[in-house]
Amino acid sequence: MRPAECLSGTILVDDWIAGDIVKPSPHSTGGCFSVGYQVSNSRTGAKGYLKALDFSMIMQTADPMRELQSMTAAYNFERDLLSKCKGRKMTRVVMPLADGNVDLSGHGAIGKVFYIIFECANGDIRAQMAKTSYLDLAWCLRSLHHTAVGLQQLHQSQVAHQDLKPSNILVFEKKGSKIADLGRAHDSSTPSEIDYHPRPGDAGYAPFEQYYSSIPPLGFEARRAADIYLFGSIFFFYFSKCSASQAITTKLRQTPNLNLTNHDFIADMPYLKKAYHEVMLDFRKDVLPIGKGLTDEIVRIVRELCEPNPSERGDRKNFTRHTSQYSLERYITALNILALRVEMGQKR
Amino acid sequence: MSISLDEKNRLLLPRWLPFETAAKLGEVSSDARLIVQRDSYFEAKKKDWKMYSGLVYAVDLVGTAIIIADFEDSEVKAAAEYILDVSNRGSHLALDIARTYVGIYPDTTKLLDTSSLNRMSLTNSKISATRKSLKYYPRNPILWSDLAYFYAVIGHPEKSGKCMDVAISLSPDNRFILRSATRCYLHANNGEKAHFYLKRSAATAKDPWLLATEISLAEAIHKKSTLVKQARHILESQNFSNKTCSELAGTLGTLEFSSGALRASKKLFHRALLDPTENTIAQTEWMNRTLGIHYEFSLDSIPGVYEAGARILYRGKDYKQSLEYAQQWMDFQPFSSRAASFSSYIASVCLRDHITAIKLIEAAKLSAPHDSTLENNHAFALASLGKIEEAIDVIRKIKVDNLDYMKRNILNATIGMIMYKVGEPIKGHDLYRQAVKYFQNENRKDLASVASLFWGIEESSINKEKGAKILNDAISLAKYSNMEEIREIASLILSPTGAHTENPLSPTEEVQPTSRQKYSALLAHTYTTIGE
Repeated sequence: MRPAECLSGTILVDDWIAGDIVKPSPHSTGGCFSVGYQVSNSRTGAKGYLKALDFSMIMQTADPMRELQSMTAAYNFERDLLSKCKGRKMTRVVMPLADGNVDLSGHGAIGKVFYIIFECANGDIRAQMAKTSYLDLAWCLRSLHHTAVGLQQLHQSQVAHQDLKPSNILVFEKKGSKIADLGRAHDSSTPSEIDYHPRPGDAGYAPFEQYYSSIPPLGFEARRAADIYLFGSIFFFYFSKCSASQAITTKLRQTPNLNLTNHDFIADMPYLKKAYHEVMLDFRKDVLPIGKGLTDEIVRIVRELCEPNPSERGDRKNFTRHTSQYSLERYITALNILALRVEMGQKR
Repeated sequence: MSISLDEKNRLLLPRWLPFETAAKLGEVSSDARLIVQRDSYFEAKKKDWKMYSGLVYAVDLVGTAIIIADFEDSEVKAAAEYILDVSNRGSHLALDIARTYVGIYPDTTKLLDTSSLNRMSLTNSKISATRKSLKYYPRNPILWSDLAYFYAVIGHPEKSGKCMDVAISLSPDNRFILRSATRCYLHANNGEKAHFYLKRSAATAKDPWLLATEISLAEAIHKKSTLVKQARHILESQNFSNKTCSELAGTLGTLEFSSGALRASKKLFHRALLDPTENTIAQTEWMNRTLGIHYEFSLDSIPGVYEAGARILYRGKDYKQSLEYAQQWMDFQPFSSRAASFSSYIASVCLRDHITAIKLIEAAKLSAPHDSTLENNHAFALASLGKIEEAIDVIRKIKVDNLDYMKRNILNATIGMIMYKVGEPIKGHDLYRQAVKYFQNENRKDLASVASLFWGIEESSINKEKGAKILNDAISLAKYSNMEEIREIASLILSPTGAHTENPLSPTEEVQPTSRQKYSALLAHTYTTIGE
């Protein structure tokens, strides 16, 4: 067994005790080199989720030293970023409760396991959705509102998430939804290895400009533009069970003999827009039975967020203001109003 | 009767098509394919699907497989089938994803979705739907381009031009938009504008499809293209697929042909035919009588070969089939007066079916209401059916002042026929003689043979000997221009059995003497203006 898989029962920092392994979290820091645990606090009774980094696997890679350097840098980056988020009181980002390392005897020089303990969630929104075939509109809109707030909190601190997707939005019993996993994030004040990736996040969700580029997004605004596209994709997930990019690519594949270039994003834009508009027609059909009277407003928001051309993405009203066109402020207000309308309707 | 069987100068200009049709014909495809690399997330999604087997995990896996173009994975296939099994729980888009993965999405695109006979209502409903979409997506250049096309189909060139202006301002470097704009502006006799946009686009010098368009357009507007050298370089580089280079090779082949370099032209056409587009085949078929390119293809093997098919079948004297193809060509390019003119010629002359000819012309006039060639053919078909008054009405609407000499003489010939029919053979004789002489001077033996045939037929009813002489002239002119149908009809009339039979082309009613003066007076202004 690898050291990171031997933490069950171990007493950790601040009276946390590691419980059972829950599931490897391949999406997060270190790729397949992390292991997840349920943890509980013997003093407060609080529960948490522990992400342990497994350095032992490094020895099996082609270049262990480079891998070690990369992992360490990623771990430190995420830990520092999380503490920055904590310091700025980002209420809609999953916060670390503690971090540390534990030395496991019997594993030699690689027996040291580094970990971060997070707030314990009920699961991600995929798990929530899988539980029921019925979509609670009020809950869904409130979750979207919380996600928008979380993303705006990150953006205000010059942090772009870059990997926002359903598995990275966690649902809490009383606190609603929060954004998790900053492992692929960009922090304007701290350079990291991820900054050099042309497509930092999941290919299944990434905006189209990232498929074309062999260079990383230029500047924070470009990353922010990608983030709001990813946020729009969360709407797609709720109402259509897929991402915007998956739906658009599907429409492109349905057009006979249509191959996009691999180099000219702007010249291909008409095809992307056409596919996107077809997607929006289907999306509307998916929203209508649930969204009813709110359908037009929901579709309008998504139409602006998932616009394939980043220069036209975002709230048009922001285009003439000093605010960034990728600001989520107006969407936060709109989603709050939509959620309130549904919640009040339910109470009545 | 005017024909467009063998125009003097056919250029390989792009077709103007709605987006779906252009895509189906492979005209928007790129040689360089966008490939999204598989990442570690994909494997994680497979694990998630195996572990949880829920709809959301299945859709995520299948959707990502479509993005990375992995269509062979059995686990993904199982996930797609799962989505289809629980389709009552799935969304429209989720089902779309699953169907696309297993390859059962409906291919609703048809090359021809409007028939010339119900074009107006279908096009109007398409205009309405496109305008509705534009309300929500005003920055979609394809919607604007399609709207421009639909307006052109129903004969609103100004609206069409305005829509294309928006399309090209939104996407000045896209191949589909630039090629559509070229035909749109040419249709509105504004080739200069199209050339300006092509020259301005950075994509033109790099894309063989656009290079071909620029060179042909420059030729059409009598300008010198500065990109011919670049085009030759691209063709020699072998960096592009045969399909992508087909129209470029055909365009350069046409240039060589025009300058008399037949061997070089032939070589380029052989290159163009390695993986041809329907337009390249039509161009080859047009040039083939001079070049003698040997190539084999079946009409079913390449989509959209309506023009080439119509020409091939016409040469093979299968006029019925040729008319079917010509009608499809009209549906394929509804605003093309060449297609309508060809169809009406086959119907009127080769098949002696003037009623069909009139129907086709009336449908074509929807897109080109003031096309003098169509008006002329319309008048011819009406006159041939004995509807003299209607024929004169059509002729009187033609703006003679705007016509070039060739068109004026074509019209002269038609008026000449009407003059014979209304009992004014001397005027008819003069008009026909003038027209035939002009066609011969211009070396248009095809037009001269057609005019001589109808002149001969009309003259035979007055003076059999004179008529026979003119018909013999028609036969010798038809031999030069390979117009078998003219030779056959003239020979039939001249044969001992056919000499005293009725005119095989026009069952004309007897025109009353009182009407003669009226008809003659009505046409007097037109042919006097032509004479000026």
